[in-house]
Amino acid sequence: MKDQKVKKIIQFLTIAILIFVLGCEENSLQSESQSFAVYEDDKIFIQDQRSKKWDITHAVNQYGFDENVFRHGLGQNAIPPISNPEFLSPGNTGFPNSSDALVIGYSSDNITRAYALNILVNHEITNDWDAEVPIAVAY
Amino acid sequence: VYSREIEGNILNLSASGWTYNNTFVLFDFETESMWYHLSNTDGLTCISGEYADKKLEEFNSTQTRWINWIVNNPNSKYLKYPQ
Repeated sequence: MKDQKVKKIIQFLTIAILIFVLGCEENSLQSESQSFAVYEDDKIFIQDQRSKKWDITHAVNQYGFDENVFRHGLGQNAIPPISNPEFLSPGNTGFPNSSDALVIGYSSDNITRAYALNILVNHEITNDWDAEVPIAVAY
Repeated sequence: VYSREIEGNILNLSASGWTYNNTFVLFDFETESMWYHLSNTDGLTCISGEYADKKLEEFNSTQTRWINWIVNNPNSKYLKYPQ
């Protein structure tokens, strides 16, 4: 009985280690093949998956950005912002009365608004207005 | 929350599709300048493009749970899920 138990534990550990090692290998392969850098004349670009080249020469020279650390490069239309946000007021259908959802709360003399993270995460940016002041809510 | 007005011009910001150190790199549709929240710096800094080295001011905001927010801000509106 005891032997069988030990055997099972060893089996389990072997599989766990194998999964861990494979996982690490995959990660290192991914990061090695992830440079998007393109060099032309004295300029440094990163080329995204839509073939658009972004000139990051200034970011590298002035702020010490590393062209090999940029990731994803999904293209500028991959995560569209919310540009004409609409809001629910207390009493409106769909207005959450009790919810523990995480929000970014913003309050000024003019407006008090909450932007739920589960909405922001799909859009990254909401281009909004605080009366005459254009504001961007970013996640 | 950031201002998106610079030198009298209004910018429409968006994700650029890039991340850097797990933080989104933003850009504006008007000039395709790139904007980034540098560590230890308030606001968004233009790291590349027409507005290089300019900053978009940051305004106070709070990350919290809706139930806590609405208790303290009973008149708050709530972003509608976009169509």
